[in-house]
Amino acid sequence: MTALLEVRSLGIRFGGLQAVDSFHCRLNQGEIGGIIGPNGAGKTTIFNMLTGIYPPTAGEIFFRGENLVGRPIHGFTEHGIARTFQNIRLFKELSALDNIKIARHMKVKYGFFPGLFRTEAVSRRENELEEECLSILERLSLAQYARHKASGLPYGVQRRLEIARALATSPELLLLDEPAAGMNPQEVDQLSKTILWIRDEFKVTILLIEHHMQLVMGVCDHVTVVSFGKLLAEGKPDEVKVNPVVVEAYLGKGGKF
Amino acid sequence: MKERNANAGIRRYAPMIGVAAAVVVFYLAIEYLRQARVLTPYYVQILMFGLLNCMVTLGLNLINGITGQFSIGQAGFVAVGAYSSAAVTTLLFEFNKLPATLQPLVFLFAVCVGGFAAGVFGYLIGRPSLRVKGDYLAIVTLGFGEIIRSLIRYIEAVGGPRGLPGIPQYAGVRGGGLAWVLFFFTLTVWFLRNYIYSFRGRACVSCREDELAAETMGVNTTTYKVQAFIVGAVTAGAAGALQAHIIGFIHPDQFSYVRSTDFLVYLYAGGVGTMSGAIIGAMSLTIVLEILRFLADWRLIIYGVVLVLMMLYQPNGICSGKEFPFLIPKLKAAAKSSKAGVTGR
Ligand SMILES: Nc1ncnc2c1ncn2[C@@H]1O[C@H](COP(=O)(O)OP(=O)(O)OP(=O)(O)O)[C@@H](O)[C@H]1O
Ligand SMILES: [Mg+2]
Repeated sequence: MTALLEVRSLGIRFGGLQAVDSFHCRLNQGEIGGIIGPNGAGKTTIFNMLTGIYPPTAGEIFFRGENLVGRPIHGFTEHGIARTFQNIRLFKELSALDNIKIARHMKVKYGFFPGLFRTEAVSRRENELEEECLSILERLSLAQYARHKASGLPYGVQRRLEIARALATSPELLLLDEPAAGMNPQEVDQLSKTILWIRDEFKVTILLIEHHMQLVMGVCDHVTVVSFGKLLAEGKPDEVKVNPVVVEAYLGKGGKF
Repeated sequence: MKERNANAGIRRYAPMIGVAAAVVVFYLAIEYLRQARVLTPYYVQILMFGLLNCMVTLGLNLINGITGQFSIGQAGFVAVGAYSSAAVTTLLFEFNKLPATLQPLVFLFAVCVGGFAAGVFGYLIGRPSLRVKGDYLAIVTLGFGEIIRSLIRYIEAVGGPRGLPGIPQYAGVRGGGLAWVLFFFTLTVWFLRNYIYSFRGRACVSCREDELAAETMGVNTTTYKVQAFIVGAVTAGAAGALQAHIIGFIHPDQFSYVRSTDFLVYLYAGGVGTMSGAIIGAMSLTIVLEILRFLADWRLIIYGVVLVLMMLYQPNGICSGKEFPFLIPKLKAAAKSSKAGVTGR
């Protein structure tokens, strides 16, 4: 069986800085993968390469057997990769509903001129879209915020809305960049459940970056550790947790999770 | 069953029929007042120019307000529309010798040519401009407008630096030109409203809000930025075509950067990002400027003071983000949709 995502010796240089060096990973359909590592390790940079934002200087990104390197950013989304950002990037001035509508962009199709005349068919499609988007919000318990401006929503709700927006593109692979950032332990606990639920409900494969070990250990099938751009270790969460190299990189000599 | 369908059809088209009827009634009222000599042709002409300014400002709003680009060369597109349409009615056809039944068709064709030619220039300017942003884009568009004006000076066929006289005043005040202007104005408003509230319009808004996030949502931001330039230019070109056939004379200096600045002022004074803002801004300032005409040289000073006061007390423009409800298409599920609409300003 071919993997959904297969990354081979991926690397990127920023001038003199080798931010990521021969990174690789493999994710099968329905799995949840995790990337951990200290600050500045290059985790977000990996996501940026997996979504076309940074063109890698080396390596390949095979998604459903096709190398996506060299495509524009929206090409990655068209192929089924969606993401959230470490520092939330919602369309702040727009309502939650319009955020979702924009994410459905690829799923709405009608001609330019029918659009100008707003024909019956267009009108019908726009009505359906409104319902689709409201139902996505509902499934993520965001229905009550549909008409609220995104920037005015509480932080946790904004994070959830960003996940909803990513899911609205109907992805196969969902990349979450530190979804638990700024959350308290109870919220992290809740988030773990939500992530598992999302995988089953939306039938997506998930790759996430996290510093909260509790969350990573709880949901991930597979963990990759990076430090200073290099892949340190990979394996099942329990194996990685006790790997001396990892413990040292994270906590210094003699540290313990 | 058939009857129910018919009813649904009527309900669906009722707002449009309503708007069309309102426009016709408005036109008849103005015509009546003109014939009763309450309104002089001078007033009617101000109204017509106000409507043209609305059209151009609405196009500019799509580029600057909706898509978040910063274009300040709108007069260049107006010039292209004016000159290319005038070329159709003066060089291609001998308009005044055409049979009366053909004249409206040729005129419509000329306006379409004006819009189309401006659209082509919109593409030509929009495409390379993607590499630059913000202030730099502004400078490029400004330069573009001035280049068009200089080029026209070299085209002898359309009068070069002397301007082009003798354009048939088919849309002139006396020939009932208000009807044409109202028609194209209404069409512009309707098309732009439909565009903004389509997936394309939302894609434009997403370019304004966060280009990177828009791309990761699958929006090809290049496409929509160029498209906004084209649509905005077509609108300006159509207005230019009408202008040429109202006055009957066009000159390169009518389309200088001063004119471009006017449109910017209309838009930002009215409220950038909403169609209401573009319309109210363009209309009210066109009228205010005419009212102040008796002040001669003091006029622009007073105008400046008015603008400064407005920026102080109403910094988001007269409409400050509110859209006229009829400019937001109704959706069944959206009974309680917000006033801000998708434009979010
Ligand atoms: N566009 C860029 N130009 C130059 N250097 C960059 C760029 N993007 C990232 N870097 C560098 O690459 C390194 C990795 O950054 P990255 O944001 O990927 O780290 P991270 O693992 O996500 O860290 P954190 O846990 O703090 O989010 C850093 O040294 C950063 O300064
Ligand atoms: Mg990061």
